[in-house]
Amino acid sequence: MLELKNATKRFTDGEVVNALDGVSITVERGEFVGIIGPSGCGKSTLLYTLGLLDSTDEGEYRIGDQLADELTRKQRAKLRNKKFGFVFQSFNLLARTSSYDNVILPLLYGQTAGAATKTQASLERVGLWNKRKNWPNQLSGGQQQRVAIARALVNEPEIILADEPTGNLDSKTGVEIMNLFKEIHAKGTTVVMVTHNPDLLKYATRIIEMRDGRIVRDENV
Amino acid sequence: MGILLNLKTALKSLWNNRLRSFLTLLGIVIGVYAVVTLLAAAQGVQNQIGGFVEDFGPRTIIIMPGESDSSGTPNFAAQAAPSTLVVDDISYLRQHANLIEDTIDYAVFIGGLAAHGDKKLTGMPVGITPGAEELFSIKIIAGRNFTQNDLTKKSRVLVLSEAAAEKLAVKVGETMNIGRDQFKVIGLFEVEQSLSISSAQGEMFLIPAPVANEINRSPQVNRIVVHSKTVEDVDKAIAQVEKVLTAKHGTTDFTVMKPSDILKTVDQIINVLKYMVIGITSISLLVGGIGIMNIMLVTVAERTREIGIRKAVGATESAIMLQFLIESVVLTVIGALIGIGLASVTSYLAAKFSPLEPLITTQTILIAVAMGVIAGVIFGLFPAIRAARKNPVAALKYE
Repeated sequence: MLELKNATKRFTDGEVVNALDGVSITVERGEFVGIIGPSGCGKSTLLYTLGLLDSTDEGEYRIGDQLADELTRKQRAKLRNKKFGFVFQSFNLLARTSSYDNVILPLLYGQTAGAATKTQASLERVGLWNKRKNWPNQLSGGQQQRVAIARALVNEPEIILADEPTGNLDSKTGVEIMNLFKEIHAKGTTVVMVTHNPDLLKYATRIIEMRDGRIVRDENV
Repeated sequence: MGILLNLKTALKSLWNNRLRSFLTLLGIVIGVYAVVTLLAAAQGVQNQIGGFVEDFGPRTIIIMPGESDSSGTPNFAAQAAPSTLVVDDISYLRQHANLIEDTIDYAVFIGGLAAHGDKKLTGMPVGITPGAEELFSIKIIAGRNFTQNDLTKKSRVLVLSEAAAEKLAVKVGETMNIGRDQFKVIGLFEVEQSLSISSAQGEMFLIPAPVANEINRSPQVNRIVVHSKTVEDVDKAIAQVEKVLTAKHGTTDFTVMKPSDILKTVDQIINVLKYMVIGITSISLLVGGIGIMNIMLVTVAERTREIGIRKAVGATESAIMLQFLIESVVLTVIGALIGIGLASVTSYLAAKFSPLEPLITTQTILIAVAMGVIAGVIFGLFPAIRAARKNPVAALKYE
């Protein structure tokens, strides 16, 4: 479904750092991929590259049979909207904006039909329909992350890309969130999750370990 | 993302920063206020003059001293110089111009201070023949106007405007002075339309024209009013009057016009003024616009993370650009509307407490709103493009 070949990405921050150094990875439908590694190993860059938020300096990336290099910026935006759902460590909800308005946002950009029904379904799925009018600052961290997950799910994407989704949460809430991911995965959505917490890898069906921009381990569990 | 949703987002964001938004749009408010107020004033003057000119019949022709330039604009400086027209011109016209009626009226300006008891008043003393009232658009409200008989007998009688009578505390039947000459007040009038917005015509004194010539010790006249026999022949009559008088004077040292020509001249002057007003006030809009650009750049920087989020969930660059562009246009249009509102209040007060009758036309409002929209687009474009071009990954990490 996703196929990245020999991806290289360099950052120049005083000295040249290879965030990705010849990474090749294929993600198949239905996988739950856990990417682990120390900070700065390039795991987030890999996630953003897969999600078309970032691009590589070298290498080839295919989404289905589409070559990423051939996409216009508008097409990339469209794919981000329809195919991917992002979940971030710091939730990244729009401030002073209700849960409902946060969740409906992808549908507005995608001009998707039945936005209201889908938004309600998505909020109900994470158990926060009753908090639809609350602003993010009126919600707990766990609730905020669930709103973010509802937003990621609302367009029924094929792949959820999660960047340290429990990083800002206490361990009990973290477990709740991970159970939500488990459920989402069980219903057929592909999940790619970046974490530095080895405990979370028990949810994954495949573990990728990265170090200095390279994949050092890639195994199904 | 539809326009309506963008509008909602824009209004919300402006409301969240309402003090900042308000201070920013002050520049636009002031600019638009200046445009609308000044255009309304100019329009008011134009209408007042238009109304005044309409009081003249379509056959009326006015002869003024001083040559006009090639565009037909009379030489206004010549109005202050000794007049090139004399009483003889009138009988000469009567004899030699057959396209005009025999009744010819004229007006003679005189100097001299009006005085009654210890009260003195400058103002506008004019000697006229009764028909020349048409020049001033007056209506007798007390006593009587002077007659042909008063003219023939060179009676020392005077009619004056209500305003002047009030200031001098003079009543019908009393006597008063113009310079060293004494007159009996026989009537009061009110000025229905005023060509001039100064108080001069509001404080007007009319005496029989031959008396004015006597006081001036000169046969000079300042205005001659003739009428063509038919409406169709007005232009032919003007040409004839010009030819006849030129033959008599040996040169064209005068100007013959229809009141509508005066209107045309005034319209030209006021239209030039209007463009100047728009030009000058555009500078204040430019300053206001730079303020808008500045604050939009700040807004875009502050909302970097929001832009990253929107891009992550699938906003295209054009959607982000539109969002910020609409925000700046909403800001400037609100500014324009406030400016128009304040200008309306000012115009209303000016109409109530001054001789001006400002008029805000639909065209003026459209110009003002258009200026707002244009300023919003021009000064919002650069910040909006900057917002649209932000790298999503960097934007999401922005603190």
